[in-house]
Amino acid sequence: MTKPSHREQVSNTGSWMVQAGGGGGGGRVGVDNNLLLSSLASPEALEAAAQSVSQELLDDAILNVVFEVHQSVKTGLMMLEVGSVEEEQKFLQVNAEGLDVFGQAPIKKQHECICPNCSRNLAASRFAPHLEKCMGMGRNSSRIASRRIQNSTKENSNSHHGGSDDDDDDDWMIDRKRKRRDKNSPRRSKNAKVKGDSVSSTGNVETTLATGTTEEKRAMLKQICGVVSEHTRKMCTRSIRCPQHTSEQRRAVRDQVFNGSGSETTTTTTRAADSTSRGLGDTAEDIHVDIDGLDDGQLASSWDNDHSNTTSPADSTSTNNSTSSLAKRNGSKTKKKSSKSSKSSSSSHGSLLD
Amino acid sequence: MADRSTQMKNSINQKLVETGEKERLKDMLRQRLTECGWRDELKEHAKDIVRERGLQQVTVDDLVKEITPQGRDLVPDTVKRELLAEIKNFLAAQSL
Repeated sequence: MTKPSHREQVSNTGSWMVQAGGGGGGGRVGVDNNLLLSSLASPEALEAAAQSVSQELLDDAILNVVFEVHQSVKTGLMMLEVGSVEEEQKFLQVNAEGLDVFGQAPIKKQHECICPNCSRNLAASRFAPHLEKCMGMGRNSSRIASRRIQNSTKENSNSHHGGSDDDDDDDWMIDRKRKRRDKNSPRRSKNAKVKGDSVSSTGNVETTLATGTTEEKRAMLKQICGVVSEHTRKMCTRSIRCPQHTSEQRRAVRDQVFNGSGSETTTTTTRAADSTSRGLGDTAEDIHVDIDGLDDGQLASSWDNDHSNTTSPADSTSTNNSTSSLAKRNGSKTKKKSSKSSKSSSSSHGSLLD
Repeated sequence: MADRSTQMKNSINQKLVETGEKERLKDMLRQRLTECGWRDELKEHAKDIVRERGLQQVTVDDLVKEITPQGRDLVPDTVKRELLAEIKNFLAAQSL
């Protein structure tokens, strides 16, 4: 109603308002201004107005916050920054005694397993090697097992003396072990194979010669060559088939050892001594002679050293031999024997040879 | 026709905007609220609501509805007083 009348006022006072609002707008503003002026006179009105304004401003601020949160939620920033609740609880700092910050015990517990074979509680890291040994598979398990058997049988044989079935088995097992070992280690000397009483070392030789009985000496001389060396005055401790010495030398040594005859340089004289001294025991010798002959044959032809000579080589005299090497010797023997006193033996030998 | 009070409100508002006072007051309020920690509190509250409601179901209107009452309560008195004082000053200046 008052609009047209106030236009002029407006134009005077609030020119800029007129420009902004235009004709109609300007009028309205003018009205408001008047209202404002009038209404704001009272303090209550002022207060109310202020309140409303502040309220509006506050709402605006709240909206601002809301927008921010909503945007972060929808774009996934909230997720990145905060993370889910579960994750938070998983990694909470642990404040317990005895545990570290992560809630773990200070010493790592070993996983324990039970062996299916022997039902023992084992640590996990030792489980695989134990299974190998336990079940007998894997590289080293057989070796260890056999070694253990060997040790146990050795103990058994050491403890029991005398024959029982178990001992025999043990001995057989031990022998097998020994033989197997020797096969694998060719460097071992053949003398080491001898079972039980072996007198292969020189020390034993000396003592046996000095203090041993005849039987012991015989046994010793069955195994070693025994020919006394010129340089060292010691018996040759190589095997019976030692290439350095001949059988004649060996026989001479044996004669010396057992009969105490003087010279051994010439075989003939010793032979003579043999034949004369053995005249009494000829019949027995004859029987033995055959065996000896076989032994000599074996010496000449066989290479296997495991056969034990039942009679000493020293016992062998001029014998009937079919082998060519010994035949020559026999030939020489017979020639020499023909001049000797005991013609019966020599003639018999000679007839055989003829 | 608009109510007198609303009219008055509109006029005041307009005056505020035109003089640039509204903007100034807005900034001032925001600053004060951030300083006193009101903003962070309200943000936390909003996040709680979001967690409750679920990430996808939440909307702006929901949030506004939930937060506004608490927001209004949380405003410290000092800030309120200051704001009101400022507005009154402005209005007084305007009416002059």
